Amino acid sequence: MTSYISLPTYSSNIDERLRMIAGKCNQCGTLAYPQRPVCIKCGQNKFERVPLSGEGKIYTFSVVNGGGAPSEFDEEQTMTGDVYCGIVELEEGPRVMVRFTDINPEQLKIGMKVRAVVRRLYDQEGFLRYGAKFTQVA
Amino acid sequence: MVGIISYGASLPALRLPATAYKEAWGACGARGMVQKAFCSYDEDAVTLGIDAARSALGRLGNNQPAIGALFFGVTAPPFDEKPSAATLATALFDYKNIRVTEISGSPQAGMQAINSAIEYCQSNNGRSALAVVADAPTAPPDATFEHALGAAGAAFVIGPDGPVAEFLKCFSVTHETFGSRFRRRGEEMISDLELRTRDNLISIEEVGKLTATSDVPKRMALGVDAGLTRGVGRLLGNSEAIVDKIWTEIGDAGAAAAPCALVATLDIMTANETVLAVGVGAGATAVAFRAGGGLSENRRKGRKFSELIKCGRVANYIDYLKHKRLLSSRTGGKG
Repeated sequence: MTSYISLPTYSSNIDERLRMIAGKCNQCGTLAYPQRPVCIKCGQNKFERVPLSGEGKIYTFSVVNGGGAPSEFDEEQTMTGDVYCGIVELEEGPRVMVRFTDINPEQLKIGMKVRAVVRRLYDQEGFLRYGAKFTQVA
Repeated sequence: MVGIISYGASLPALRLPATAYKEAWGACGARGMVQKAFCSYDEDAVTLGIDAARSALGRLGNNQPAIGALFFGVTAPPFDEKPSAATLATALFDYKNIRVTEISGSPQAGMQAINSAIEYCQSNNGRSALAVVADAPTAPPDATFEHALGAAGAAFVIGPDGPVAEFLKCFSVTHETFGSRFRRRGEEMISDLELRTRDNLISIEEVGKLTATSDVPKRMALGVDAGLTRGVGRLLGNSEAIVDKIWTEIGDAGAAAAPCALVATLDIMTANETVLAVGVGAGATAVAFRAGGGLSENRRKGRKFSELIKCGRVANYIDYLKHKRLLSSRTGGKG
């Protein structure tokens, strides 16, 4: 969700990224987002596709200061400053690593309600990648 | 009658006051503009379009119709080839049996997308379509006409009946233009030779001749600059017309200008009032609607355009240039 994704991987699950589609284990009902080949709880490999609400709260976060971000965010960080990332606990349960956007850094705190929006993730290999970032609930 | 089932809009996260241009360049070339909305580094016409479409579809809750076609009006898509409309459809729908069409080439593209969605519903009895318009035009920072360039998105769910607004009529005029607002193939930024050729005024006058044969709407949704707004009611046959003023608050949103003006007008209309939305550029596309009984209920389910204008974060001019990649040696304004 947060950093470099190869183009084949990106294109293979683009709808999951843009619409936030989780995999629900057919055996134990555990939700996984992003989807995985096997269930993290029971090891079974059959899943039902379940759309997530895109709403959740900040489980933890980190501020990446100048020069510390991966290369795909280098240009963005030069232009816009610190990069905010973290883990969001979605309403449906899964915890997911995310980038935050349109966040007031002074209000950033654990437990803050956030929601998913589609934004540009980065532009690399001559190709734009879009995906979910999380922003403060107004 | 075919018409609007639901509507919504999106504005980018950032605002730039006109005073920023006065401080940076000594004057703001966008006379009458108070502020404009512009994209943050990770926003563009695609993200605005998705957000606007989700707003329009979200107002319908579980009553969303199956969308048979999506029309995307945009002058500044991120790709010349590779349809951004397909990105929109993937982000919005869990089905793939949908026709997508991208309309570009002039600020008329937004109203042309709406008109195309209407015509799709007229020719496919019982089907519904989605018109998405979004734009974020870019120009060199030392060009005076750049001062006005903003960004915005809007979306309209069109269906076989229009509880929000019933389609009345469409008017189109076309003429070749030289020197005003063009972008050659492969270029990132629009150019305007600023020859003051009255192109847009001529287009509106031509639309006025066509609308003279119909009932003249009470409201006008134009999305054109403050100078053109003055007197436009008279040109369209109703000097008393109530004309939107969103240009002064969001700037020139290209293809999204007139559709966003339509959104702002629907936000304040009452049932049975009529509106003429006019997109201008190398001609004009005008679409007339009559507000329906379902308008007030639909707009209660989303944020009004005036609220979207207020919720942006004000930036300074240097941050504006950075977010638009205009200071980047690597991208040099490449969007």
